[in-house]
This record gives sequence, C-alpha cells and structure tokens, in this order.
Amino acid sequence: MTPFEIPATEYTPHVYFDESSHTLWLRGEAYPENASAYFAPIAEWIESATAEGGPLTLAFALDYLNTSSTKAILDLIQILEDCHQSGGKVDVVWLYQSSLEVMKESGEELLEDFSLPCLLKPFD
Amino acid sequence: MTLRSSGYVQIHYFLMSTMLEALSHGRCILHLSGPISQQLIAAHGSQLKSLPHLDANTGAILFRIFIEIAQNVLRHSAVKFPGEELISCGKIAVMESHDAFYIITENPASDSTSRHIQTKIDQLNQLPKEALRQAAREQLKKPAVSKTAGAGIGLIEIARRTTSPLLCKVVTLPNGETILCITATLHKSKS
Repeated sequence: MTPFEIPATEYTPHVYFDESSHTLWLRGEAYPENASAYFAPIAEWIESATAEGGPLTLAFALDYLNTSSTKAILDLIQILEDCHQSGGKVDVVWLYQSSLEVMKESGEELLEDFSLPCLLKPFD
Repeated sequence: MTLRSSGYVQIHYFLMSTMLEALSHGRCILHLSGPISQQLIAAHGSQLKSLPHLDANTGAILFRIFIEIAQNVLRHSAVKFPGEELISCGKIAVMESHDAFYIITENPASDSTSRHIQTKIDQLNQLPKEALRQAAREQLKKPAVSKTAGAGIGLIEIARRTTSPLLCKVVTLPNGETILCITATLHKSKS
C-alpha cells in the first residue's frame, strides 16, 4: 500500500497510514466546512488500498465530528463494508475519550448498520 | 445580495429584540460579529469545550451545537465577502446563565431560505428525541443535497442536542432585507 498522510489543522484530523499495523488513522477534530471535498482523497486512497482485499484497519480517535463529516465517514466505512462482503480482511476501530459519552454514541450510530468487524473502545 | 448593498453589515450589534433577549440570559462568553469564517469559528469555538466549571461531555455538546449553528451561518448567510475563502456576514453569541447556555445567531438570508428554515425548525420542535435520532439516521443515508437546499442534518443535530425547543424569528428590516435569528438552548443539568 502506498504511504498516505494529511497533517492536522484546527478543524481537520491528522490522517496517516501506519504500515506496520496496516491501519489508516484519523485523529483529532473533523469539522471542515466542505467535508465532501476534504474526505475525497481519503476515500480514493481507501478504494485503492482495499482493491487487493486488505488487510486494512480504519481507526478513528476523534474529539468531534460535524454532521457533514459523519456523512463522509459513513461513505469511507461503506468502502470497507463492500470489501468485507467480498471476503476482504478489513475492520473498523472507533476510539473515544471515556469522559465523552456523546462520542461513544456517535461511534455506535455510525457503525450500527454495518456487518464488518467493528470495535468501540474508550481511552483516558 | 452584495456586501455593499446590505444594510445589515452597518449594524454593529444584534437586532434590538435579540439583544434584549440575549442580555436577559446572563453573561456573554463568546461574541462574533461581521465576517464569519471557518478559521474564526474554530479559533473561538474551541474554548467552549474546556470551560472550567463544565464537565467534559457537556462542553463537547455545547461545542457540537456551536459548530453546527455557526456553520449554518457560514453556509446560509445571504451576504458573502469576496475572495476564495468562504466568509459570510453574521452574528453569533453564546450567553451563559446559572443553569443554561444560549447559542444565538443572526444572519441575512433570502426570504425563501428563512421561511424554509423556520418551517423546518417548527417541524423539528414537534419531534421527541428518539424521532430526531431516526430523522438524523435517515438523512445520513440520503445522497448529499446541494448547499443551497440546506437545513438538513445540521438542524436535526442541533435539535437533538438542545434541551428546549429551538427559537426562530424572521425579521424584515426597513430596507427590505431579511434577517434570520435562531436561539438554541442547552441546560447544564439535562445535557
């Protein structure tokens, strides 16, 4: 898989691929004004990375995501879901600060309609 | 509507009715007026997450409401500043009383957008929280709508997280310009 990294801004996450764990991380804030434009290259990279069937983990450790980012992230997870349905080895990890019940709820709602392996996990 | 033709940008304070309402809510902890940009929203909004007397989850919900309502102003204000970056004319304030936060916005908007948002808010105010959750879920599954259609999932999210019905006023200024005013309430004990 090709290296991939987008530095964080005040309102967009640090996105990077950790080759050793086959994990694409999104860490930080996610509320760009134009979410579809922001997430387009990430979706493109995931499409390419899953074309060979994985393995790939999509991992989130977000402090906040706005509604348009929620919609864009659902589309990212759908790419993995399609890969999973075709027998690919992919999964999703949603980490949330243990003090933020609202982010746990966001993760639960994002993942509730997918059948691929998902893990929701708090951190301090 | 152009920046030059807008009488609204000449007004440095909220409409008198909104101002009186805002002052009745307590102290002002955040106030943005004039050009509103994504950078400005981020720079000022982040302080809401870490107010010293607020638990982390309530701070996160206050921040969530603020971002959604501020980005609504950014997208739907009828007055945009020239340039590549999206910068819109509007006013946003966060007031705090002993038991609640009030997030108050005003922005110029077309008459049709204002009426559309007012109708949408009236509908959302009738729904219980579980119905709002279902509405958000259904909206997320729909194909993306154009920005001008607006008033979709962002308003639903605001209605889900607030603890009182959203207040919406549409005011016509003497010059014919329409101002959309929204107040969202978050009680500290219910969030």
